[in-house]
Amino acid sequence: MKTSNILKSLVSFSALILLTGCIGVNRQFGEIKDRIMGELGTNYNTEFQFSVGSAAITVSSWFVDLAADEEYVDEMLREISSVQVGVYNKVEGSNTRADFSMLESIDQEMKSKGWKYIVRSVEGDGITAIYISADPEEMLNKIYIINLSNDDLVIVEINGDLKKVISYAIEEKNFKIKS
Amino acid sequence: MNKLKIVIAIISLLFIKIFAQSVDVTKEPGYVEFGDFSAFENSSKVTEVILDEDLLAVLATMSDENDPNIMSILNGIKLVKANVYEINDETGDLLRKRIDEIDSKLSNTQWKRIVKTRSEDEIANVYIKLNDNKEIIGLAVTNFENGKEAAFVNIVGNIDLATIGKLGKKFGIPQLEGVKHDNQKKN
Repeated sequence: MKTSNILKSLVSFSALILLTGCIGVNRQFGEIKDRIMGELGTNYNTEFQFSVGSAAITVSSWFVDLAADEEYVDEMLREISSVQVGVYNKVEGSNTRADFSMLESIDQEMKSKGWKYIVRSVEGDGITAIYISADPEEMLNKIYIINLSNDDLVIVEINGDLKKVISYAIEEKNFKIKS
Repeated sequence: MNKLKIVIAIISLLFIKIFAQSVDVTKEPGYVEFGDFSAFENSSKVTEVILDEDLLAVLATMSDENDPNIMSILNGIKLVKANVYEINDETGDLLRKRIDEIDSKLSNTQWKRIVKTRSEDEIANVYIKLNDNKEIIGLAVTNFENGKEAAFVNIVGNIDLATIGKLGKKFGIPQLEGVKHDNQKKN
């Protein structure tokens, strides 16, 4: 193989990874994140935020193949086309307590952006909410997860064929009504 | 003429789609209005789950005969909703009262209570609603465990008796797991 061909292959492979993954989050994700932070009324520092495209997910699924016993995780990864993740640390001194009204405010914001919740919960100082698209055509193509703890706020948006991810989320966060 | 048929077919399909989306599940006979929960929303643990018909219908298609999984039991179900509240000193009596109110309300209508457990510290009730063909079209569960949690669950739609136990197991509602057995004994 000629050196130029190897170089071309390397450049293409890098472009595939870089252009579809590990770049900043998109504007809509940023807007929703800002609104949620606004509703929370607490200052946060960005620890990191990034988006991962399908190529990077495919690569990571190879490692899952090798590392994970759970085949289900690998299957789920293969059906995901992109992921956006943001982790934000609460600024020291901020002392907002998570409560249901906060969850309601986030819900109003998410509703206005075309999302509806399937699970939402407040536990102690933490909030977890899982949203899917309110559009029936898009319902199983995107999911938005918000998790607020005492120390940080984590926001994740996942796109792709998410039937398995959503069914897993429902099963994991079941009603747990113990007799 | 053919074009006209196509146009009529498209308009009909659009109407069916619009109609299907506008069905209000709260008007379904299997729907239970548990009342206003705002008094309990300050509990330190609150969980709400709402799975509507659009979502359930798609999830139900995930299963096939070769690969039966949880989602196949969702076929025909129009709504799954659950509200769970941690019980504290302020809300304990109110939640117990709410469960009693729901019990009176459902007992006075066409709901049939198929499971009843009552002790000083625990109340658990399971109700079903049948249509004229004796098919289950609604299921409600109320549960109170003193010092722990109170839960209100409503499942609306065609519920297969044989899958109620599975539904209970998968959604963490153990009260449902004995339903088939108890109900069969009564019949």
